[in-house]
Amino acid sequence: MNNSIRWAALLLISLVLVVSGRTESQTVSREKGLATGQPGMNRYTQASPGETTPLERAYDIAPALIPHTIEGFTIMRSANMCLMCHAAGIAIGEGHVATKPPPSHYINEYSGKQEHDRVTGMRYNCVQCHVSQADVDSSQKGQEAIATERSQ
Amino acid sequence: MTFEAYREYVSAYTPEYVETLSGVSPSDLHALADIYGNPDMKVISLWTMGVNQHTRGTWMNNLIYNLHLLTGKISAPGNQPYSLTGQPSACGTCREVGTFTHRLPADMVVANPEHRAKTEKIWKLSPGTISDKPSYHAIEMMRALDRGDVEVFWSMTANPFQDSPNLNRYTQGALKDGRFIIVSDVYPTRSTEIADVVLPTAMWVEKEGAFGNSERRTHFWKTMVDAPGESKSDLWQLIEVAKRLGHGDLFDFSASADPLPTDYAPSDASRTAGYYMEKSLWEEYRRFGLGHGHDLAPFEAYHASRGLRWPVVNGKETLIRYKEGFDPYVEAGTDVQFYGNNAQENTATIWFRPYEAPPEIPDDAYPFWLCTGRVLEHWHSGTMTRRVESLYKAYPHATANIHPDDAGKLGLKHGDTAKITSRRGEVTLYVEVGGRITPQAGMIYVPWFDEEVMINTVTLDAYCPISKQADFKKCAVKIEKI
Repeated sequence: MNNSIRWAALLLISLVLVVSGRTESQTVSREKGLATGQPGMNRYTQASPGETTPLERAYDIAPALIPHTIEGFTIMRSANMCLMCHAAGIAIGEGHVATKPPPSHYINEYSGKQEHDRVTGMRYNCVQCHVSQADVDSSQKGQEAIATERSQ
Repeated sequence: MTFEAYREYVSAYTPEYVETLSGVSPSDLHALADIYGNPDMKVISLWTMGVNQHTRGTWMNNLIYNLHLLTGKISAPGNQPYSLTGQPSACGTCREVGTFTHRLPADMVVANPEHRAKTEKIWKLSPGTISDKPSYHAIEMMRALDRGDVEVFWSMTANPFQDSPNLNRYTQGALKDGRFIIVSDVYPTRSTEIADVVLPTAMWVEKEGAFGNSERRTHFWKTMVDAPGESKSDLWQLIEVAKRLGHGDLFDFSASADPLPTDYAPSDASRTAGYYMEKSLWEEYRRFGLGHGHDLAPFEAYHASRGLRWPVVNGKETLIRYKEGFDPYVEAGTDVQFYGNNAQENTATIWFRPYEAPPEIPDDAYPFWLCTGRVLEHWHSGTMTRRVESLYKAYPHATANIHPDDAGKLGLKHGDTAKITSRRGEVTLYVEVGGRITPQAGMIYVPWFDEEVMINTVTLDAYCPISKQADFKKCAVKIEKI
């Protein structure tokens, strides 16, 4: 690459924006190249049912995340500890109510009909769709801290 | 190939021999054979990258198709082989549109002189402009950048400095003197760390466009929210660069000047042109597929529907291709007719594909298989999904997932930190034993969505010579506690 192109490139770098929050424009002075990764461990919440508030869903029919620990829970068709609270939506803890399954969970997907007044057997494996949430700072501030750490 | 010839070729592959190659027991193979061989049983085979991302990924696809073709379980309700491709628009954006270097729109290829001539006519290029030789495919492009045969590299809608195999080789290549890297993206990524210039880019809901899914469904959307700051759509960026390189005439549709939409916001590309650029481009693109089995509907039809599956003939979409009564190109009385490839006989092709050993096999120095892939919550390199709170919290980090027996032998516990090393690179990460993923003994599974765990510095860049898809599913590694 000849020098004039190289100078044009440097000029562009000073003009073109690396956006961290998308709306704010800023220039970066960091050397080109990959920063060292900061690996993390998936550690899930130890909060008991009733101690926490559910996260907002990512979209309308997204399966809700589980905001409490499920360690040691029995989740079988014959004995399902999740449904002991969630089926009836019982009140638990300070101002918390277990989220009730929506009507879709009562419909047998083969027949397309509701056959019982309980959650359909094909849905007993709750953790196939619903997963625990990790103890990790996902706020904008947390994300910025990660970005800053990486850029140094 | 005749049925008898095929029978002879595969006769060496007895269930007992296949067990020695694959580890799948003869009883499991017989159970599968009973399902596929039962004329009263309908079978849909679905697969994803576990089949495709191998040095013989195309052969494995051929073999699954063979099974369905030979048993007649294809092109009928409830019967079909179906590759669930990794990208929502891989079928549309890469294959149908012809983005790949060997391809042209509507399943045409640069090697075919008639296809080149038709394309040059529609695009108003002088005859001979399109070369009959493809240029660089995705991995060769990275190698050309390393060699210096490519000096300027512009990445859009991808994250090549996280998602390329054997990443150290290509990162070092990109950082050599004389290389100029441009990256269009919506957020900072590993690729923007390598870039000389970053072009802030509109996300999908911030621009207008169409997807083409692998079920042949084309569907359109409108701009739903404004793109923030100075970010622009990919289309706007391409047209503006084309203009500055002296190719603005390729995007000049002022002769037809389709009027801008009035009941929703025009895109940045349309506002700059002063007419409906997306519609003009669509109507030009449509001309490639009309009349040869790739018919697409007029622009407005897609905004009045929730997508249509091509071929769309006389306003009617095709639910099952090659099937009489569904596909308008199938002649009456044929039931199933594989028109297209083999026009004289209207038949599909059966390929004999033998076993071939992997390009790298575990040994004493690197005793484990490494398999990379995805987790449910995260989309590819996680550029967007790692910024969605509920998805991030559901699965924040990529970890090394190990079978309990292997962990025991290595003295590794759940939550330990470890280093995975191959002949190409190394990565530090945490170990999960008995977490969400338990691979078979002898294999370590690491998802690649996490930019903090660049597992592709370890992977192998051997690729399928037909599809050019890299072998992300197996290479030899060692793992050590640190």
